Amino acid sequence: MKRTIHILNELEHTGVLSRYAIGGAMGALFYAEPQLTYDLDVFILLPSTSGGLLTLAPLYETLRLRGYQEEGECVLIEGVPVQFLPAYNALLEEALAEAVEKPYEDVSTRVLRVEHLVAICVQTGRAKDKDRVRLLIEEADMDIVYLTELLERYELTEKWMLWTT
Amino acid sequence: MDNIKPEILKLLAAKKARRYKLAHLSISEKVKIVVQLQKMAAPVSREGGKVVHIWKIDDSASR
Repeated sequence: MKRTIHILNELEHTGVLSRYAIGGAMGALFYAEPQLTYDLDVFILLPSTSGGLLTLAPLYETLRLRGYQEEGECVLIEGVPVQFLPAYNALLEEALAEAVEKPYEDVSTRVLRVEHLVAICVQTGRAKDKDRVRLLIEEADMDIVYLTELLERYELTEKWMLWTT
Repeated sequence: MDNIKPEILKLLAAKKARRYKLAHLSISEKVKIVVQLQKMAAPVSREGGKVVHIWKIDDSASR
């Protein structure tokens, strides 16, 4: 895992990625008790291309040249299936911009803020997102004022109320 | 909650305390637990046709 994070950091330092942050179940793991997951979800901002086209091809090609193979939607990096998810809406772009540095053993990585993890779950809206929200409410230290403002700004308050009352 | 026996309340409190403790482990300890969960769940997932990998977390060996 540490080597996987090291590769992610390298991809960012070399400009293959503009920015990355861990989200999904692994992101939640930084704030709550362990839950079963098989994939490492990594939200990314890609460098701008001349034509403005959003493509994962250069990233996948770089990884392929280093010996990391694609498997379904993931790339197996140092034994961990990594799913790269380009930020495809304003909430994800903000979440990436405000993600925080966290240590993993002796390497540093970047993780989405817990409030953004919650807001993304509410926006995505699957059953497992609802479970994750429940877990984070119970166990994570959250800035409720920040979360409330975030949910309002992305028009998620109504859904949030339905999930939590 | 008024009708729940004290023994059950004690069990629920212990469960809550354990979850709190798990939530506050270091991230590498949590990842070790995730890998244990993966090892336990992988046969069932594979039985259902899902391709799953147990995460490699021993970073001591070089490539």
